[in-house]
Amino acid sequence: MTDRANNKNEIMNRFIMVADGDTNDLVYISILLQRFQYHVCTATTAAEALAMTAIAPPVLVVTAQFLPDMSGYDLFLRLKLDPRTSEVPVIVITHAGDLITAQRFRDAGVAACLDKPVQVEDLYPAVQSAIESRPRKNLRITTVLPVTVNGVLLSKDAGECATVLSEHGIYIRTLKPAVVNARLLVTILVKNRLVSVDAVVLYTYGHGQGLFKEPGMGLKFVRIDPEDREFIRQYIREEITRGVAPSTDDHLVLPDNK
Amino acid sequence: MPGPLRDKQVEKGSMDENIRSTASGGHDRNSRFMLVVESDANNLFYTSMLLQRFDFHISMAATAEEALAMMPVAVPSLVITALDLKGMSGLELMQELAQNPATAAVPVIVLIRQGDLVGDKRCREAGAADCLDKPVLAEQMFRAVEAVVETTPRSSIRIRTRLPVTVNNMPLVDAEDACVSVLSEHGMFLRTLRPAPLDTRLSLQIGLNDRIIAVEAVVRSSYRIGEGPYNEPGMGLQFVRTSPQDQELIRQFIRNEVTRGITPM
Repeated sequence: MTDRANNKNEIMNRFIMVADGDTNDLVYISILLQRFQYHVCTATTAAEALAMTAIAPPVLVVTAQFLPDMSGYDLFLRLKLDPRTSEVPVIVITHAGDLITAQRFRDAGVAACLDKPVQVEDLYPAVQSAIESRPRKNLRITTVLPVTVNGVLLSKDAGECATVLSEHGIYIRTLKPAVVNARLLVTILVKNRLVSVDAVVLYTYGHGQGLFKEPGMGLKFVRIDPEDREFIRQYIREEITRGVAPSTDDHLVLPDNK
Repeated sequence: MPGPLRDKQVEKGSMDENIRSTASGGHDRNSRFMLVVESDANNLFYTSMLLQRFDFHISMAATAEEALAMMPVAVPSLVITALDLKGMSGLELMQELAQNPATAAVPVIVLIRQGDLVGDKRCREAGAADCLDKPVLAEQMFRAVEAVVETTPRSSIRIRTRLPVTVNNMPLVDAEDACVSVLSEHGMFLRTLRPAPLDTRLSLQIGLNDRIIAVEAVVRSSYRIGEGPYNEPGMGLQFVRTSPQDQELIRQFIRNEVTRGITPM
């Protein structure tokens, strides 16, 4: 088997464990992670989480600060003590403003502490930097948005459109990509808003190179109205959180008795 | 996809169609959100990982009580529950779901201990979409779930792969990059820059682990660069003749791939 196939299998075998006693947050976080293209396993208690990690080690554990049967900190220590999971990074969801707890977790070696309610823009880079060799900072979504390049609407007949969107750039699927470093005026229709940006071609795939990649060009925005950037950010957030929301229940869930 | 955009100007009516197509794409993803209910940690893990490998989005619950608590958060398009659970049974869960107008329409597949014919009968009578005997093989699970949630259900698992292939025992023109990139029990996608015309009958040799298997296949679709469902050039092939042994090897290979690292109890 080739490296790429091995890599693919490795990706399929990876999963993230999410432990949270709050049903709403458990569903919310696990759905977001699946929309980021990760596979997920969930547990409502530390005991369940440990039973699962004994079956197969996850690549990352995301836990609430408090679980019904033990604290997230105790779960973290249990994972560290088990040779099978001692190297697994842990992200803890802590109460917003509880800086002392967050600092204690960081000192103990957790990969990241995120404020509750978890924001999608915080979760994505935290997960990326915990487990990816080339972590991304900005959320990207796959999409099918019409675009014009230098005033010309790309042909939907030929399947030309923006297929990937982040707040800093897009990938345009086209059989006729511009040359690398070309500066283009690009207009994208995002919902009902026309967003016009100046963009530079970072890389291209066409005939003769990257044959089996989607042909087109990766663009980086070099001039964008701050309001348009915020609009794109909002749009990406809406798309990725469609139908799910973090828990609005803000009271501390303390362990029953311990 | 809605009608193509022909005008060179950004014209609002056509754009709206595009928005709808994106929005329905999102809806489609939601329709693939499912809930797995199992008290046995190993089985819960197996079923949930398997369904995620089939590209479904999953929530997991260890008890029926937990499952019911998840309903107000997000109503799944399908519930897959074991009949035997800690606390409430899968049958009771089904009855609870049926009584709530918000969840009454959610189909339920019940996983039943082998030989529990009474349980099987009661679940079917209570309106289960399907009942499957444990342990559930990957291809049975796939078929059952597809039949419930898809308008055009697939009958066999397809996997993304990268297997060496030759046609009529000759290397392909782009032998370096040509390969089997998608494989199912009944056909495959052969990635190549020079796809054969539609309806061509080809004799193929596929390297499967340490074996070479031989199949006869017919070209059903053909794509140039930038076309096609996989964003890669090549041809979709339907197997028309395979020996029973080779058929079984393909089935085994696919099952091993999708269950790598996970096993049912």
